[in-house]
Amino acid sequence: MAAATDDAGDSNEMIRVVSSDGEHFEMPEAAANLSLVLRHMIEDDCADAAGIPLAVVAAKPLAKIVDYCTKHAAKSSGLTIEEAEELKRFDAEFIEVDTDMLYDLLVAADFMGVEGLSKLAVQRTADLIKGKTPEQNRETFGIVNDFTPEEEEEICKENEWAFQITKPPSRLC
Amino acid sequence: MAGHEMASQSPVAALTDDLLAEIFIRLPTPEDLVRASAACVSFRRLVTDRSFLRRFRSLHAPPLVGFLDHKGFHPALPPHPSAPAARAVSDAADFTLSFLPSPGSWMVRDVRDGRVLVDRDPEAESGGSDEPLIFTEIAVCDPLRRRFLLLPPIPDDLASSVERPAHVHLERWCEPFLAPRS
Repeated sequence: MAAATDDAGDSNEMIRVVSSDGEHFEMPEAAANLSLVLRHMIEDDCADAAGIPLAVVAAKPLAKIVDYCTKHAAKSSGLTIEEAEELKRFDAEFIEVDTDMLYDLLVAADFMGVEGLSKLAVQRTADLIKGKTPEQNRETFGIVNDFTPEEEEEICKENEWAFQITKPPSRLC
Repeated sequence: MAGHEMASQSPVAALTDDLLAEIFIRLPTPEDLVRASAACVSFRRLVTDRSFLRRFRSLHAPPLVGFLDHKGFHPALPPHPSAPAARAVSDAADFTLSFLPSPGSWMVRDVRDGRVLVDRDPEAESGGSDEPLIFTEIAVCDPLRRRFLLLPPIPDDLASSVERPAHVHLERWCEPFLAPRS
């Protein structure tokens, strides 16, 4: 993505950010403005050549976020139907990530205040949870079952109706 | 090279409550919510939180679990998606309303949001008067929790101000109903 996007804001300046593990990234100002945190830093003149340090965002998720913001900033206003469709396809492919990356994106998007990405990651996580048994959810997300056997039995009994999944035959809980 | 400092095996479970709530609120059905909550203690604590449940309910229309008429409760049956929940409700609730005083003398008038509106003519039991009462005795019941609330009677002076009421249905003067929550 070139720095000069025609209608991407009042400046074509590139904004530099630095990940928690010291990697440098660049994105157009309009892309950085999709992050509430970066926008405030830019407004406060904190964006200099050294780059804005993002202490809790590692290089891997930050690279994804720079991609996301750059794509969305370039297509921010006056979308045709085809462009909107294309952006939707981009989002769908973008969020096809493993659960570790999904976690990183959830945390980073929330921290950086990138609303669209936050919603995308949250929805993706909900989609992964729905239609699954508690055991399947534990497997997907590496969750440790920390209920006592008594608590577990009580939950099963209380909510028997919800565990009767008719779709795939699987263990209940 | 990557990475957050999370050494834990369960990064998603380590999300803040706010983020987890945002995820759970987007689950499409109550069944999904219940199953998600059964994964671990922190999920369960969050999902059973009253303010979270209020939010979830406000975003998800309550499922249709069945109909109630003078013959009792008719739960949704398979393959209706609510069938398992309907059977659970049917097993757990008392739709004969046996917890009311003088059970059997009440008529179901309306059902809404899990509450049942019933009424009766208290004078009908003791032989009664020739004309049915204009204002019957009214109660709101929760068959699931076996609770009821008798509504205060319309004061006599107010009741007597009603002149020449028209029958609305057979022997009835008034048709009580439950108003939807605004």
